[in-house]
Amino acid sequence: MHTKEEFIQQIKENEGIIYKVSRLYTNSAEDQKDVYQDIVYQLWKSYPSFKKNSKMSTWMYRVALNTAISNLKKEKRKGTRVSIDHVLFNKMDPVDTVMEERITLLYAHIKKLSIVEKGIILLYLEGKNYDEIAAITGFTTTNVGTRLARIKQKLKSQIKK
Amino acid sequence: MELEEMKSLWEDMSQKVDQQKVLTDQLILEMSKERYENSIRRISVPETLSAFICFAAVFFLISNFSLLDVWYLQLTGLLTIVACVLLPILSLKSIKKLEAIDVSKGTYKESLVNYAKAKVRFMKLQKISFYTSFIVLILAVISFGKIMKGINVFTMTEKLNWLVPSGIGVLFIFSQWVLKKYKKASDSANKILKELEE
Repeated sequence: MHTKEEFIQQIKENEGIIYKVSRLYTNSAEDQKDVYQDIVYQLWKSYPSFKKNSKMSTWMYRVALNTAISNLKKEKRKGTRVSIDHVLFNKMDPVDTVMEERITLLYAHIKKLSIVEKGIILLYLEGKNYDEIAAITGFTTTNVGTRLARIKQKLKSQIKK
Repeated sequence: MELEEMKSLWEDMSQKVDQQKVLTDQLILEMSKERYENSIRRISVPETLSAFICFAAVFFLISNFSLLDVWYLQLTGLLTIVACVLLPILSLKSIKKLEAIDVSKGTYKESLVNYAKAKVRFMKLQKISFYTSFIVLILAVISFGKIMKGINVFTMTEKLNWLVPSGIGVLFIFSQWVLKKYKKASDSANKILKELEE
């Protein structure tokens, strides 16, 4: 039995996933807030069907990535949202502007990749191994390897420019 | 920035994000609840308004149907009624379908396939709606013209002299724009599908 308290606890422990996914698939702070909130809502909605025999983070990555994609097609259908500005804007230490600049650049490089590649590189950067990436994305382990090699090559030439 | 540097920077960012626990119990619950209310509101405001206008037009046409005294005017009136009933129903149904997608079930790959297909389907629907709306507009002008002003557009050829060419002109300009948008969406969707097959 999944309780409300358990859900809240899990969200708090994994809020970084929601932040990173929502930032990667959007181009403005407004859209990011929308996607962030929608991910929390979708996690809440599907939490009762979550099976505890699978890893919580695997399930969260899957729901977060799928929500981000489903939001791409309804970008113009927005409602009002909860005020979560402080959540998103205070994520980084405001004093550490150099780091924020470098992270913005990092996101800019990743955002240049195709929609298929974005999810794979995100999971790679999150430290997931090929099997875990395959489990989340639905590609075979070999295919993940091939795709990652191509993505790395692409990023390398992108960075050199 | 080298790739290894990218990875270590990502790790640094992840650590910072994890340290700054900012979500409160209240905020999480509010987000879930608010989104739920929004998903209903998002459907209800524009679509309900359009449906209301369409149904009002249907009511007006039915109650004044006797004023359409010639068979072709009755036919345009009838077609307008059918379109005004069907279009809002189809629109609401397609939105319901979009909202019913369960994001927790499929994998990333399946979601991308669904996204690409939905994109093409949506643009197809937009294209059909565009042409249908244009026809409905013409039918509505004919029916309402007769009911409200007693004008029979078919017999007033001097009106048709400028109405028909300007209508065709507007249709041509907008259809080029619609087709361009459709092609762009289809190309990008096909690109995703092709990339997934690789």
